[in-house]
Amino acid sequence: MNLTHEIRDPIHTFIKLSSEERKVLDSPQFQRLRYIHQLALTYLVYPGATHNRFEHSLGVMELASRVYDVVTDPENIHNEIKDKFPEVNDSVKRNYWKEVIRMAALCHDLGHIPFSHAAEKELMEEGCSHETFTANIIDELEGIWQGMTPPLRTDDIKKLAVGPKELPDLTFSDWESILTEIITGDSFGVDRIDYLLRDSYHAGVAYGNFDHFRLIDTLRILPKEYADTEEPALGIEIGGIHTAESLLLARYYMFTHVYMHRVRRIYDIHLKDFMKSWLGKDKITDDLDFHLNLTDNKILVVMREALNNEDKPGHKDAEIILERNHFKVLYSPNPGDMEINIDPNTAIYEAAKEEFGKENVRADSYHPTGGTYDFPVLLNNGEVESSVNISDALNNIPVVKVDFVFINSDLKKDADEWLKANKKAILKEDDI
Amino acid sequence: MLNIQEKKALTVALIRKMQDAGSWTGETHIQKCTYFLEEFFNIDLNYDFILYKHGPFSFHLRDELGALRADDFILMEPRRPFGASFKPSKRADLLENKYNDLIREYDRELSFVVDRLANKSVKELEKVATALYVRNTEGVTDNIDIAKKIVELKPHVSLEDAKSAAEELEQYDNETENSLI
Repeated sequence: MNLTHEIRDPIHTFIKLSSEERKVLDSPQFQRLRYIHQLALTYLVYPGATHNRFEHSLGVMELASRVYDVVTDPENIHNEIKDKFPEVNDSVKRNYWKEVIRMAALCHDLGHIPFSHAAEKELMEEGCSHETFTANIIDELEGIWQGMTPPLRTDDIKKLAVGPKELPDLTFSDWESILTEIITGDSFGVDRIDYLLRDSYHAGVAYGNFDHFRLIDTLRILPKEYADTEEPALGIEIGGIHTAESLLLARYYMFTHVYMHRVRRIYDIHLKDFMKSWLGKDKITDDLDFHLNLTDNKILVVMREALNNEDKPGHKDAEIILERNHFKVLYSPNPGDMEINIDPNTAIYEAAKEEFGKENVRADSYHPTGGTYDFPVLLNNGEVESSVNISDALNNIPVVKVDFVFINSDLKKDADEWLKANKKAILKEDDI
Repeated sequence: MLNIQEKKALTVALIRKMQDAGSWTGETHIQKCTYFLEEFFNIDLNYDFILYKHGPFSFHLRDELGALRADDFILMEPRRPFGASFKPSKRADLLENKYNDLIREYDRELSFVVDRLANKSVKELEKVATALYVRNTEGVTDNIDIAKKIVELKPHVSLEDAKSAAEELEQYDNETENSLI
């Protein structure tokens, strides 16, 4: 792999590519990512957060490459699982999979619709997701994979880029599962490492920063016999446990302060409303030509047109977004409410809709996906333990959850008074 | 199909029963018990299971466990030597009380699954759950054919162990027929 091309990057300084890899970078499918904001309309709250999926994808490739080199170094493979991974002692195979993971990392976000994740489920046809689009686009780039030295199998790239959840018909070997974890894993996925570092840098908040150099140096593929399983997993040497804690705390703070910021959330909802109006009865399908031309820029142009023309679909939503007249928070559950009602947010939302009209109220409920921070840790004496038995800090990171009911800003004062007078009754009544 | 809150209530009830039975109640145990509720008893929980970690696995259920923690219906705590264990929180009472009738309606199925699976090892769970997966998705009914398919999908499982798992599944069939569940 002759990495002759260098690209400057604010997070990783230089990102290097080979001429063969450059062909992916130059493809219209990848260039499109220049026009997909990484954090949707978050720049309306954090003005610096205008970065895009293009630079993030390059960063993920760079990190995947670094992690791969560390965890597949034969010196770093735990004795108990050496036989499971013959790939690490075969330089041809090891190099092949390095190229696969680099390309999978580079392509992992190709399928994003405009403004990234915002309301994907409601806007796309049933059965479609940005992951299924990504898989389709990787198929479309088969000519590039075939032209590489050695040629790469398209399915290998798809598996690592998209993961088993969206490819239920493909079987994943232990090796492929580990490589998938390197990109999208719940604890140490490089997708997460890059977006935390990059988003915090651009948003101008320090919470997302952590010592990723130390973290990567201590990552290992480890057995999980303590959990009575023969399947290995991506874990860490005990010397890296504090950086792992920093990463996962960074995630918590970035979610609570940036990703789940109330104003960012309501703009996501207004954006979804606009896009639904613009699409009409249609949904975004897996038509790749349509997808290729659908970028944030396109949406912003039609939004501006809608603002200037009352007859255009989405006129009101365009006004709200472009004139910054977003709905305001009416309600967010407090611990007392949680004690008397199993779902207080929905109860208040339903009552507010009835009182003020469906068009004036919006609800939001979100918690991040993924599992617990339970990964193997290699102790100094050679034993392997679960992270949850090692780190109190990890066990005590709260689970992020946001619940909001938003109200049209013109009705905020009346709605506050209404809520004050009726909240108790609504929450109790709903739960009888 | 059960609604979101009903699914949450049944999952919490399952976890409580598993805890009461002395199970480690790790994620794999919850995954496999839920898989049996959905695929052996046809309870319409609508989690999409695929063949992945230790046999059938649902990413939706993994996210649901995250949601239950976020809603403070379940708690995660370390359990030596294994790892993360889940148990119902104090707030879970609210959910279980509201859906008490539903939980009672499915009590026999929950008990059946917990009695047979909750205290198995992860390796045992993998075999018997994969046997059910093979039978339901591949349409294979003969125990030897099921065993061969298990070995094909999970090469670390011996043919003998796979055959035992298929026979165990057959035993479950007989027990449910006899008890008229």
